[in-house]
Amino acid sequence: MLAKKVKRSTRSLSKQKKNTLFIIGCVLSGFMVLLILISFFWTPYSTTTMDAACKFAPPSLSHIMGCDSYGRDIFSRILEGAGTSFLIAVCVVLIGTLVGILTGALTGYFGGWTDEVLMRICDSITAFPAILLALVIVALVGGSKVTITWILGVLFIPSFARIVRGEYAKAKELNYVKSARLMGASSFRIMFSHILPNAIPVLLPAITIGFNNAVLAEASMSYLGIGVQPPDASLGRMLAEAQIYLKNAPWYVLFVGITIVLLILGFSMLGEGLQQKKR
Amino acid sequence: MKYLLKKIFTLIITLLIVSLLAFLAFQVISDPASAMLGTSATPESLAALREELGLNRPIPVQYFQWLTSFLQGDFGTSYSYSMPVASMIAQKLPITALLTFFSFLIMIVTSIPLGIFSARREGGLLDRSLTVINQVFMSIPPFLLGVVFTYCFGIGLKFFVPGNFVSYRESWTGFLEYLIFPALAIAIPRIAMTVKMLRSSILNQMGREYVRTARSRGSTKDRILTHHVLRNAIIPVITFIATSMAEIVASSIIIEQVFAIPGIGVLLLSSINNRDFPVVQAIVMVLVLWVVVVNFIADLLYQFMDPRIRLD
Repeated sequence: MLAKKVKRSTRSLSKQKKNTLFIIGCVLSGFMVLLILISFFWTPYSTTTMDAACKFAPPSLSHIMGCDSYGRDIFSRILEGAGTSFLIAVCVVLIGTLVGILTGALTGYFGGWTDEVLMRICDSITAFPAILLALVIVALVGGSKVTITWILGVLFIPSFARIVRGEYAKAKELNYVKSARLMGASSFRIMFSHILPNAIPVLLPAITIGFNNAVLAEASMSYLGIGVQPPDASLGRMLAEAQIYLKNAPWYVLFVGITIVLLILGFSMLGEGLQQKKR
Repeated sequence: MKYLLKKIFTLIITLLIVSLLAFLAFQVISDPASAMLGTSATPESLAALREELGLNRPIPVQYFQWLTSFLQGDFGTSYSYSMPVASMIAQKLPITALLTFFSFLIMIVTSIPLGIFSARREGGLLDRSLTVINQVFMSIPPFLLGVVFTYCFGIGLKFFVPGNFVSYRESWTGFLEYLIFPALAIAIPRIAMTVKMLRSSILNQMGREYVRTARSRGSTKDRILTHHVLRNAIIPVITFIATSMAEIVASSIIIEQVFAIPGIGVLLLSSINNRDFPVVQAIVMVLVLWVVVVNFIADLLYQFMDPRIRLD
């Protein structure tokens, strides 16, 4: 009786939540991505022009987020910074997913000792927080937009590889794969045109989570001053800069912070919506 | 017992692999001799220093020497401060350890009751608002919370003076007071994630057959929750809490920078910027040891909490 009631109520709640989460996530991340895409071609002000007259100007109609210590328009700079952070995160996820799919597919489909060894390596990499490992590698090779993209991209491979491997290990025992093999399809064809489409629904939520982790990792590293280097703007670097002027221009921190949170929130809701849709 | 031995064996292997990687990265690739001499290096002085440091010897010999002295507590000498690295770390380590421990404590103490509460009132107004709040707080990076706390509680309400760190050597109460907000900034996103996990884990268990059986025997809902469900629901959460420990260490490195707490994180960053590799190497080894040992304990705890899992 109770169990039934509980079961029903969880079902109805998740059903009702799935739609709202997914929709809000779509709208929010769609809005952020749209703003970022526009900013690649047009920003309200130039991000480098300094205007001494509006140094630390509070938000107003002409500068909707106010101005920074050099009198630059904060809104334009946030758009530029968000663009950099977004591009880095997209590249990181791309590297992670593509290499992850390749290694996960090969190890999951063929198994054997390479599978065993590669998965142990993945286990040990994922045991450590990505930021910690990235810090160490940056110490050796130096930080810039390109290096941190590669470092984070490589560090994100295991999480994708593991998911893909699980799907492939499961799928290779299924009837559709067996019959494809009987029909003489090559391993390559089975892996990428038969199994891969079935692994995508599992991969999608992982991609959104990975995107969020990438935004977070890049922002943290840039905040610490070892990620994106000037003159490139990034949300993390801007937050570190805004913190210095916390007393003079508290809205600077506020707007940069809200941008980071909205970017992450949108994609995390999207990911969760996708995950619940799958069930 | 066999399981324990196997786990200890893998623990040692992992540490050896990490130490080898750290050695190769910082002693072989980074070339300590030229890093020590900097721009004043001449080919002759470089060769002399290499001879002195024993860098001409075969790499396995060097690794073995480095490892034995490392195990004896000799972590080398800092390039920039010409101080033994071990004493530099020993000064900073307690601060970071206390900060992580403090945030871990806050996380456990608040998230478990909140998770149970939220699951208990599933679908209620409080549960629903908590779920929304969780979703938002999960998306706030700890360093951003730190900056917001600095503004609200430091500059605004004057609960603490930003940057005015009090060492535990001077005053324990002042030290803990200064650590409250950094610890909260680290803990809050983690609390949100743990509450969410525990809630869904409890709800998942609530739909099981054994709950119905217990209910039919006349147990109350609360009794079922505390005596039957919680034991099962907590198991997946333990693994999550263990990985949280590693994440908390990573966050505390960043948070130290936000609140100007002179711990391991600040030392690590300044060493990275100064290219002071012996310090970076030693800190990496200490942090890795920390993370690996925590994961080891989590594995054992996991076994202990769920005797059904016998992985040997």
